[in-house]
Amino acid sequence: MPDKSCDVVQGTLDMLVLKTLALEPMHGYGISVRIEQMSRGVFHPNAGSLFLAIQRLQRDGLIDGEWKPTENNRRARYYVLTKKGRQRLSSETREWGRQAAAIARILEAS
Amino acid sequence: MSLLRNLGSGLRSLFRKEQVNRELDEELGEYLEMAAAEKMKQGMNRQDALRAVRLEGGSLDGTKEIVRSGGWESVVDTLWRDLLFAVRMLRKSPGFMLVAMLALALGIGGNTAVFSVMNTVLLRYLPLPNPQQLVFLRLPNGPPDGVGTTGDDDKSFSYPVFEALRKEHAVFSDLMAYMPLAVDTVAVRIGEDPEEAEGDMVSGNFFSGLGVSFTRGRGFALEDETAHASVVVLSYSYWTIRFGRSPSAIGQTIYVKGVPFTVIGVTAQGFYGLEPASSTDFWIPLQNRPELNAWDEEPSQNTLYGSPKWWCIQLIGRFVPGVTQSQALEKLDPVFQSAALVGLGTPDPKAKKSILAFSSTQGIQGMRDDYQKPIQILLAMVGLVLAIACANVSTLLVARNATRAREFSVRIALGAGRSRLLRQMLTESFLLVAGGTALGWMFAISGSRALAAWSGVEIPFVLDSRVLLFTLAISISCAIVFGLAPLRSAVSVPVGVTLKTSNATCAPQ
Repeated sequence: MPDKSCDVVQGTLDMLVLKTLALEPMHGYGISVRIEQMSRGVFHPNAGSLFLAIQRLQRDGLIDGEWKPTENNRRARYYVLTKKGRQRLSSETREWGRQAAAIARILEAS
Repeated sequence: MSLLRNLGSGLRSLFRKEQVNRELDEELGEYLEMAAAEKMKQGMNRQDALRAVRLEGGSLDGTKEIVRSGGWESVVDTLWRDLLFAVRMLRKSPGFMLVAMLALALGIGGNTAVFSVMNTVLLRYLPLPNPQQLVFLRLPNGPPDGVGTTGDDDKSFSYPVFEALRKEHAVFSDLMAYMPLAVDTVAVRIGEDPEEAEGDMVSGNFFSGLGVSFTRGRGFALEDETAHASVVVLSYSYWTIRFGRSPSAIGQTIYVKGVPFTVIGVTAQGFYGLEPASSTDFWIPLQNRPELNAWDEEPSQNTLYGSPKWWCIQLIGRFVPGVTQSQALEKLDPVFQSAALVGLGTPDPKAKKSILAFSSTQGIQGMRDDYQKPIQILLAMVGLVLAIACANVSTLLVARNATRAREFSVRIALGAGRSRLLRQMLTESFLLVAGGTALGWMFAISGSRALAAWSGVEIPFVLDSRVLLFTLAISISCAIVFGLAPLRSAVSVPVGVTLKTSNATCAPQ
């Protein structure tokens, strides 16, 4: 495990949020924890950028939010992926794979 | 879809601010709680946990501000607040506001009034449907040698030419003929009251071809022309003056040079005839009675139908859609040349040939050529007046900003960005200009009325959408010109020095 966690790579937070929500509907804190867990502690999105991303995705119609009770009897806003969000996630994943492979090829060139 | 959603969500934030804020508060609060709970599981006490979360993720209020400024509505929100603040600041110095607005209003009003004259005299089409299809027929080098005219050499035609050209339906959907009953006015009698009025004799298709609409009754038909019917159409203003807009005017008899005519229609408001510099009062179909000869000509000299060598008819045509002027000329020229020779016998091969041409119906016929230069010069002059007004207001603003140096310094010291200050001050300038423009528009309304009365043109100088557009354009350029000029000095105040050297504004303890 690296000694310091950092904010996610610029421009990828939207995609990561979509991916997290594709697994199951979740609230803001859950998304943040999930991203940290799945990245094994490399990424730790701060609350400001996270909620900004959520607001943006919601306005683009990629996710929907709903108030629901949490397990310890409080209220939190849970987000689910819409059909459009699912399509966007698969297209972005494809595109990201292409770009990452290209960058890797460049860096490995000797 | 997503645009609509974006718009809807933004509007919701704007107009249900309270609720949106509360939801954001709750959501972020919950986030904080959950993060803290996580830390408490690891053994921290509650207070330390909350503090740790804040240290890691920044303060709640900071986060809220970040999320709030993410949407487009935050721009609208700040703009609105800027506007309210600008109103408050201007109300603090009513004298300055009044002087600045008056100066601008005079400049803008003058420009608008002169432009409205230019619009009417030079630019505006006749108020008829599809005016671009309408053309006046012209003879730039006059009629052929050996014919008689009425003095209007470049726009008069003979009856045979009219008859030949009006059959060219591939070019003209309608060709309308008109001529005055006299150079000036003719004697008219309504009931017992004799008076003088301006009247035209026109072809049967005059109103239908032009597309004139009617307030009351109807226009002429082609049968009215062939039968030389005794019917008359009144202009809206003549109907207003002589009949007080009474509906019973239709069917009444008016005597034109002693000949009785029945009123059958009143044209719509805004139609002043084809040469609106002097409006036409009434129209009758073409007549063949000697006492109603065109131009008040002595019948023993010339008559409309009997003298092919008398060029006395003015023509306006409506092109078939899609026909261009050059195509039309190509088709019409041979027809015109042969009809022009009717009554002249064999032409002298050395005599000059008449050339047919078209002139657009933009502006006021006859006034356009005479007044183009003067109006442009006048517009340049009032433009200068506006520039001076702008310079004055600009100086006023600089002076005012100098007295506000302390205010700016305090705001910069408290963390306002310079771009934020610039925006605030631009809002103030735009507000000033908006007030000046509104006032100027009112000036322009009375100004253009005064100009119309002074110039003796009988139609009003209309302030239409084109004039409004012009006014808005000059106002916005004003706002930018003098709004930006004084800004530099204002936002580059040396904050520390100003704060130290200016008086404290709170009472000593």
